[in-house]
Amino acid sequence: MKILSVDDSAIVRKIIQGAVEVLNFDLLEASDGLEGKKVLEEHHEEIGLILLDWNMPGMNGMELLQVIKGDEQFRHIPVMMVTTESEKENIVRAIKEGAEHYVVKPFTMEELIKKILECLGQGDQDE
Amino acid sequence: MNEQELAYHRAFTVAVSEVMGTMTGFEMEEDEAFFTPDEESFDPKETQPCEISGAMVLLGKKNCMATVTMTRTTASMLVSYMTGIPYYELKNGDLFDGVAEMMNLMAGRAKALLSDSEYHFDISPPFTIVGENHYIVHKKQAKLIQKRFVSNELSFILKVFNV
Repeated sequence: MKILSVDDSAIVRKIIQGAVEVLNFDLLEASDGLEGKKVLEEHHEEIGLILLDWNMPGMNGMELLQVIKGDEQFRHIPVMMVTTESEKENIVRAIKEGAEHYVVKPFTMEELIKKILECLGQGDQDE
Repeated sequence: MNEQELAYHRAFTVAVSEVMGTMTGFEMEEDEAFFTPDEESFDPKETQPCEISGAMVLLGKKNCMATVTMTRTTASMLVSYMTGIPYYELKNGDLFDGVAEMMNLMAGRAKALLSDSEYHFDISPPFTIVGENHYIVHKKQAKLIQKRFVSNELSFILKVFNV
């Protein structure tokens, strides 16, 4: 199973890669919404989770989220927003648009790993 | 210190502590003895030059620029701890992106802390200024924050100023 990380920061994608490797999954990456959409179109059958930044140039995370949840091919894939946007109205907006989970930057590696496991329904495995 | 300065000081001090503590494990403390000369008396020989600055624009009632400036050595250590990648394996692009992301995280946290106040702001995408021996110099009257944060041998200068 693969996890798709869509974030315009290469450093954030490397941090996410570290967490994904600990969990023995493979990571696919995209640096903006349009690239994320292309990766999804090619690999949607292998992707089990999307980690999605909000503020990106070009197509931003909210716009990509709307594409994902509006498309039969992709809407079943859980999406976790990974973003600095922490205001309640933004969190509510993302959830209303279909994001299943939300994690606010900054986070520790342990927090990220725990959140990924929760998204995959494996959150109690290491307790 | 006027009300805007006070609000920004509080928010950014908390933001630096939380972001750097969470992402790198370093407890960055304010250097109380730090002093930077104002524009009229600026002398490059008396100010520590740096090599990498993360920057972004804060868009609010009064627009500001926020910058975080450091040496390459500090950037290497902080980005190494953020990512788990040994410092000697980091490429230039990793450092430039890492410093920009640090600025993004700190400004994002400060934004959240001020979101319910009259000093709330939106943030631009971050960018990086690179060059040996560069300084961020602004008008004295524009200054909101000028602080140096240290942890052991690592340090960076945070500036927020009106534009």
